[in-house]
Amino acid sequence: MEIKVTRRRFLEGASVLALSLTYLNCGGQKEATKAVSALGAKVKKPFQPYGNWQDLYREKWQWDKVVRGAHHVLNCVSACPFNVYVKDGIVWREEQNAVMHARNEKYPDFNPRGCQKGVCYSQLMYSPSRLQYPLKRVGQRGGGQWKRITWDEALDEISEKVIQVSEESGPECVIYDSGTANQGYGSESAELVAFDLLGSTELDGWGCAGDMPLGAIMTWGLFNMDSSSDDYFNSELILLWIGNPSYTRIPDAHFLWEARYNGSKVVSIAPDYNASTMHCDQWVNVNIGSDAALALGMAHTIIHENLYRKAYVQEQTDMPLLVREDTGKFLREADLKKDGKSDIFYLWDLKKNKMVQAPGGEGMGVSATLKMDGLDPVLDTDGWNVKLANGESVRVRTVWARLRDRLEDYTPEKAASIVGVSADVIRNLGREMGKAKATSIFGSWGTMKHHHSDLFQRGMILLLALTGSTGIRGGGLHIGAWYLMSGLEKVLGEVQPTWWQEAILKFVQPPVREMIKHFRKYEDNYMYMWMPALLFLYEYGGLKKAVDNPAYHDENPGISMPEAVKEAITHGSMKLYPKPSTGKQPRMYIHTRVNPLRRWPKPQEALETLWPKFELIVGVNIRMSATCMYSDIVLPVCGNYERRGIKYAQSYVPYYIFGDKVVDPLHETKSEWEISGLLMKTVQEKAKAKSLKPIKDAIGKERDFTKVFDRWSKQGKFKIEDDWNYYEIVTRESPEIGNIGWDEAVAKGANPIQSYGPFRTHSNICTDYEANESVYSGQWFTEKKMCWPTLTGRQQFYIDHDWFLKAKEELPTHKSMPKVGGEYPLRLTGGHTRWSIHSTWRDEPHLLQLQRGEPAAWISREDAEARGVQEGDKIVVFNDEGKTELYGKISNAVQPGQVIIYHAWENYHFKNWESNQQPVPSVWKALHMADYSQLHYRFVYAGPHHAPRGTTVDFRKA
Amino acid sequence: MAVSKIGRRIDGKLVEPKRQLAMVFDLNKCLGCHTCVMSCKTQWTREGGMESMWWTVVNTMPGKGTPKDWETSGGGFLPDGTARAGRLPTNEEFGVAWEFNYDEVFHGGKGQSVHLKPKGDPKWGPNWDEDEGSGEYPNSYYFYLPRICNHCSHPACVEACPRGAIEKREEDGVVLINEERCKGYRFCMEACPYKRIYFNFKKDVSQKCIFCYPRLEKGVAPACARQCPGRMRHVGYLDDPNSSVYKLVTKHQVALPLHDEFGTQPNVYYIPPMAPPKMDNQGNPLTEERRIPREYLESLFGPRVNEVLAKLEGEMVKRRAGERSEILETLIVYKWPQDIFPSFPNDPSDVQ
Repeated sequence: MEIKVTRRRFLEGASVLALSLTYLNCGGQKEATKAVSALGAKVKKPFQPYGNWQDLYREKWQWDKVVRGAHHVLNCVSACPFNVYVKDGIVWREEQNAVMHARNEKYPDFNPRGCQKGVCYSQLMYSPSRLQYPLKRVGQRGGGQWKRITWDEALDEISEKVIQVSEESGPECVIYDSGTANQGYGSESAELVAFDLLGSTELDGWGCAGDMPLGAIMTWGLFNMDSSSDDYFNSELILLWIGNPSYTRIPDAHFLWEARYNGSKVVSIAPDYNASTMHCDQWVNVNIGSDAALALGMAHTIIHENLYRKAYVQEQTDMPLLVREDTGKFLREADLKKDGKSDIFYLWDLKKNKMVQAPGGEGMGVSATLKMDGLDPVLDTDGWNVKLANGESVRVRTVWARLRDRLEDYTPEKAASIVGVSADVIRNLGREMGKAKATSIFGSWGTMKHHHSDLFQRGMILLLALTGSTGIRGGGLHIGAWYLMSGLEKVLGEVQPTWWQEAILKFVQPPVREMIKHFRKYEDNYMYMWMPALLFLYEYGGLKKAVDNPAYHDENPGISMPEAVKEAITHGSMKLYPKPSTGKQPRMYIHTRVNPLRRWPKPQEALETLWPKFELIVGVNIRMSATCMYSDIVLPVCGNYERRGIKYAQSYVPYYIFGDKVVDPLHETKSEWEISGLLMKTVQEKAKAKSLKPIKDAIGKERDFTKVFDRWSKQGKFKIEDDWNYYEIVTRESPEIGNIGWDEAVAKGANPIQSYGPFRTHSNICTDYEANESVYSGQWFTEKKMCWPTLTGRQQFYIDHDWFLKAKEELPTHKSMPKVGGEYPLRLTGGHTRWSIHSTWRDEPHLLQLQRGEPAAWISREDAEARGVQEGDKIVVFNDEGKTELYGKISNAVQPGQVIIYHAWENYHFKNWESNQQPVPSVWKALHMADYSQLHYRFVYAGPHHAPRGTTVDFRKA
Repeated sequence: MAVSKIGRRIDGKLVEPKRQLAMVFDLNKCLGCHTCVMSCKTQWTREGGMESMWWTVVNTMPGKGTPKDWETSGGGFLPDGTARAGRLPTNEEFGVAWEFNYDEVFHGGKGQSVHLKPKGDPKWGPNWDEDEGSGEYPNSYYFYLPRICNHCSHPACVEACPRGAIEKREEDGVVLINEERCKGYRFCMEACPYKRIYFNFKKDVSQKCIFCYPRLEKGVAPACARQCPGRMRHVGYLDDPNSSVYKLVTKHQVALPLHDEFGTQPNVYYIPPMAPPKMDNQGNPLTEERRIPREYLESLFGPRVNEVLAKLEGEMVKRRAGERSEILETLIVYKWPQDIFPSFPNDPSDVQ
């Protein structure tokens, strides 16, 4: 029995105690001894010694049970295991499940991962913006008038609309958008299967979020690479290049500052003095948008001072490949032989003193490697003449020779005038990188949000290649990469590998390039309805006007945007549904766990142009997002602690994180699993009831709605009510965690990785997993000599596509930022805020209180003074495209000319709901529409991408 | 015995604790992320009357902080040991817990004519001047300063309390307000020169950081320290030679108290902030002068700050040359939790 000791009770208790002692002293009853804990007798609840107002807080720190929890359905790149403390059936609080070991004694361990958001998920869970019941709009869209409806009513209306639109106009007129948020490893993924089965258009939001590393894609054929966070301990030099990990990598940033204590030099390259710059050994305060020039200036020094790693450059890059001086194209086998291949390339071997085929070319087949076998390819050359099959004689030179010419435009002195720091700063940084044993560049998704981000990134990768830093321990570009789980294919895949394929895979590691071909085939067959979201907005969302505006592009873009789009669509390298040629229009929109109107460029255009096309807009979310506010039906999803889940595993931490269901779903919320199952079931029932014939989808394949639920549930193998089976299969079939099964996996919460597994489409680590060492990326290429998945099989700095040649971007170069937004003197930058994971947590009241409660822009003192803006004032940031009003935080840390708006404020945080995206048309580069071996659209790979940074703006006092 | 500024006789007796707990905050690892702040909030200060309380805060320095202008609001002791006059901060200076118009925006039927914002027109909050700092670009500078109750060895709050309601625990030197004795006079709030005491208007008592004593009693580190992903809050007994706190404060003397001149002998120590070197307008490093002005650092951490920074930088040079450094290895924290709070290694989920 629990006894609450109030003061009065205590006095009574004390007298009882005194009495008991009297009894004891006289050899009293046995019962009395039981009550007297002070004498050492065993009692159920020991009597608390008094003092003790202090018990007030001791009693506060109590709970009924602890359950493993994780924040798994969130688009957050940190994977953090938590223990969730439950009191009286309510989640009371959470604290990190800090059980992760160091790889070995050289490295610190990974505890206690987490951040200020993760430690208050329990607050978000019960916050006022949490959706509780299905809602149906009454009145205008965005009007904020709702009526509560039942799940049955909601499912009926949605299913009927899906069927009606699909039957009348084709299933591609139903638009499904999961952004990038729902692609986790948990049962929420079943939703993707559902819309795959319905033949809906599926918007690929990756590029639309601006997270597309196009420079890496062009150079490596890989879209993300990264290491484990402890690998910074092996870096002699760490460059934080357009990034603020103290904001954006909270659980991992300690490794950076600890590596610094351990002897690494850390340099911040950023226009503003930020929360990460403060902990660096040096700050290089570059002008906004000058990053490529800095990289090329450093590269000039590294080559000029002979600090480059020649053998690495010869073997791993396209530098020795020969290029025709007449066309600017690679010299190909097809040039030299009739019936020769167009994807076999040449170099000059100094040993044999003759021209030979360069290892790696795509045409060399499955067995191609980068092994040099005694070759000594020439790099520096003035060129020579080669006789072609057609009898012509053309002069050829190496890519290296062309690069050296290009770099003459970027001597440190010339680069300095662009970058805004002295030639010495550039030269010294180049030297330090040239001399360092291993250099890491933290250049993550923040580096990808400029119009010319691909050029920044190609420059960074060039530096890493010259110094032999990619594919070595302590080196490489840190973008972000995932560990996968093989078991996911078992529950989500449309086809499974045969037993003999699986048996072979256990012993043979297929080349990365072959695996990618395999995925492309799979995607062509089963995932062909995915398309780049920005292209959808271009065609149907009113973005075309701004994106086509030639004034918003480089003066030499290589190709105009309208031509590039036309070419990409006509040739089918980019998909666009509904196909414009059909005259069909999108009619229905379902967005799940994402917030497009918050994220999309110029959301006012979408509201004006796209919204009226939609007869029904359905939002599926945990909380009332801005997009939900503008929807017709809103379905409430249960939160992370209310369902099982698997956090997608990030390369930073070698653990898979699992979360259990801590409490039952709140209110009338349901999991994505249940919602997609119910939707499939309802659609199937209604299709059967009306004997619906199979419907032809956008490419003419038949979709039988009378069987969608049977297929979704794998003929009844999966039950809507319980997703345990899903989790059991995923965990049991994943050698990456030792095939342990769900119950064991979730009991630990954090499970160490056992193996990396074969290359898969999401994962670009490409290194064998060692349990007791840090992870670095690219080892398969540098050590195993596997070909890079590019046309040349090498890290390819030369892109001989016509558009690139015309734009003079065939090699890394610097281009000044176009004036996207109009003729305004300031440049808008930004980044992920420390205060939210996209719009999740953006409206959490505690966190808002630790900010200003409302959106803010950081502006420089100089610019504020010039415009008469004072501390505490609100400002209007504007350009030709739109305007937004927010606090102007006057900061000495901001570069004059820069306006910083950290992201993810909801539209409804702003006056008139004019969000900070309103002035941002986000004009991507026409070159990104090119179709060139490694550069082409696939699911979450390449394609047009969101480029909000560097938008021209001005501001005035509100 | 010291006398309070209003001449009231001191009621509380000053107990000499048998041991003293301390924290060391490594400012070169602080991310400014406020995970400590939120961990403390969910642990202790969510209930009615405590909404505005942030027992630990993280201030951007230079800045006005929490409460606004706390550094110049008096309290503590004068060099002769007498009380220095202090000012009671207003609620607005602490930052009241704003209420937001969620319902009006989400369900009010008012469309775009209303937007989500704090009710009233707040002019200050606990982190209002986040990331603003000082210095002229490109010699801008700021750093993060996490603060809690300093659990002082000469606590002005204890002396200022006419009720004797503030105690210093004998076993660990933790300073606690006895909420049963407290009558809400708030002299402690005036007297605390760090302004780390809040007032609970519902209960009419003063409340502040309790160093998570219920956790300490079970061998669990305070929430702010154990939940800090930056791994920058060391916790230990000052007399425990195995603790990182002892190594940093006593053995190597690289951790310094904040505003020692306030005279309260605080038990929270700071590894002072390094920063990238000052530079000319071409980005060339100028090594003679510090980016964070020497006078400013001295005003916070006293004259020894220069010596400490030179020592840390010297150790980093040694480390780069491949030598070992106990100071840096301690600051790195290889094994968590043993290396950062050796006396409190337990996981809370194991102790009940």
